[in-house]
Amino acid sequence: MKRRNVLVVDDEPVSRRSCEKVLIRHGYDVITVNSGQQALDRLAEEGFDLIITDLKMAGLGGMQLIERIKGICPRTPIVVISGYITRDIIAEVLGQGVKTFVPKPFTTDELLSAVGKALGATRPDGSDEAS
Amino acid sequence: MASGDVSMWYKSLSFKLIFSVCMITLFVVGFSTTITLNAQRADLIREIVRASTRITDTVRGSTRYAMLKDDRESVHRSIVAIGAQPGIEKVRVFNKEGEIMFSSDAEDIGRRVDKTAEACYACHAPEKPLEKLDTPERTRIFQAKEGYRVLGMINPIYNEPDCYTPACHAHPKEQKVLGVLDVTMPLEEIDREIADRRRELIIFAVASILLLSTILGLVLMRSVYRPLKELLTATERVAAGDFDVEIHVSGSDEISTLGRSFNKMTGDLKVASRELKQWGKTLEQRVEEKTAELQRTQRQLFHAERMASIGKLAAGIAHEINNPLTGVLTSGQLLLDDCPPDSPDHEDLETIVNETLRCRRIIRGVLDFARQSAPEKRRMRISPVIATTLAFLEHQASFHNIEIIQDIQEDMPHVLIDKDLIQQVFTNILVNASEAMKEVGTLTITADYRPESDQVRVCISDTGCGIPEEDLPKIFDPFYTKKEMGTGLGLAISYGIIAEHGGTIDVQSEPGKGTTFTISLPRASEKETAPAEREGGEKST
Repeated sequence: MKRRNVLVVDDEPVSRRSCEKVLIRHGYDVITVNSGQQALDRLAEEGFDLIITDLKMAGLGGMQLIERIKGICPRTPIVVISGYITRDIIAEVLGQGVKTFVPKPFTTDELLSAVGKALGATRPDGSDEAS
Repeated sequence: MASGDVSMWYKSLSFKLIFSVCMITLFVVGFSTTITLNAQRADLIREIVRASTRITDTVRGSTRYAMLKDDRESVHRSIVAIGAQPGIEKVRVFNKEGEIMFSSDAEDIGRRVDKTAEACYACHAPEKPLEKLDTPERTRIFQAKEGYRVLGMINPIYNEPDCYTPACHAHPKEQKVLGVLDVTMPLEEIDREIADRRRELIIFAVASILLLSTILGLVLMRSVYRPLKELLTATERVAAGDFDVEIHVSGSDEISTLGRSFNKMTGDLKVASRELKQWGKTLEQRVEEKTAELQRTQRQLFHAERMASIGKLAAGIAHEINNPLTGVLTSGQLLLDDCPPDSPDHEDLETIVNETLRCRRIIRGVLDFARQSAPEKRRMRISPVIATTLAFLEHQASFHNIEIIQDIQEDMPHVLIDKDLIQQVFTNILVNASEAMKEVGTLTITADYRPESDQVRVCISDTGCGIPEEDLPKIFDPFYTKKEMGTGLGLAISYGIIAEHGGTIDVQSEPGKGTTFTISLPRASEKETAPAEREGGEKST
């Protein structure tokens, strides 16, 4: 089976690194970027099976990024990781069609479970319906 | 006051009345007595004058013949005989020259009297002597030598044809008056009688005045003075604030009417005073209640403000340490996955992971506490929220040995609440209760509507260890905990949630006996009812 490739967007190096290590250990291909703009640049180059993004970032914030991703690859599942999950933010994210949240700090199981759940919504080969 | 009464006695109403009546009585009795006495005296005098007239006529008649015959001895005897009659002082006959020709008093005979004497004055006072006199002018009253009064009556003896025609007589024809017959009668007895009458009348007047004064005084004393004095005393007592005073009233006169009016007035005053006092008391109570309410609100505001400050600070810190904790947690777990269970590092790595998870719990609690978003309130009843919370907890092992008693009022008014948040509050308190009872005991949950405060009240009581009095003010403070694994945020969060709903949360506790948490939430107003009911209905089903 083709390895799933995951784009991790987070301006916090520790958090970014943690995601990368856990996912690689469990058989995912991981690309990490430290800003929303970098993520958009990367998405312009290649497609991903899953995008994991923080919300609170300098420059292009998580919410704007999600909005933009919906325009580029609307079928790609998104997992939100954030240390600042409030009801208002959840409501806003829900409005963008994102269904999976992982509040920081998370355990490896929580991250993997969320990733698995998000990917389950896509076809087993990991290809994007839109692409 | 008493000395004033004594010194001013002459100004009293009784004295004025009695004095006036005495004066009127004195005047009336005196006037009538005087008139009566004068009338009686005049009557008596008239009687005497009539008697004198009769006597003089009798003397004239009885001596006429003897005089015509010039039988002087016979005239003398007749006069002496008549003069000896009781009630006659003297009977005398004067000739024209004033010489007493005959007299019942022998000593007077031959004496000559002056024409200015009291017997002659009536005729001889004018320049030309009168020849004819009316009866009143013929009488005179004068003082006798002995001191008593005497009434005298003269009767002129006119020259008649019989007197100057016989040859024996020397009276010339031209002479009109031959002499005067003078009869005097003592008035001593009459005067005594008049004096007696006067004395009797005076005694009668004095007695009348005394009797009238006494009767009037008694009547005034009984009907006016005593009731007025009682009224005065009662008025003073009422003025001093004693409204229990009541005047004894009998009869139907003006004073009695006044007394009844006074009693009614005092009664009304008593009622008014009692109402006033009651109002004052109620007002005082209301002020005290409002003051206590204000103080409680102030304390809660202060508490809420303090917690909000602490919460904001804690939330800021929590957000900042979430990212490093993510690194610690995931790295720890990856290392633990790589570390065999028999490795000496395994336990340390477990500690790292577990303590990081504990830190995460604390941080999530802080974030809950510092939640900035508004709760999503819906109009609903509190009872299903209680039921849902209990249904969830009852299945947990820690509640298996706890007896749960519920007393939930039916049809309580709706409240405007965020169901999840209120459920979180109930869960916090119930879990605390379970821990305080060491998972064995009785939990009592009561819920009712309190009309006086227009609030729905939920009381949760346990039979646990209780909270020491000195700790009670701190239990809602963030990070205050006595539990080994507690975050100290459960009650602080609960406090914040209830405050956000416009309600209050209070605690009463007795160490060793148990603790009661009382949550009061305002009833949803009618204004909030219509739209909220639809939403709430949709949401709650």
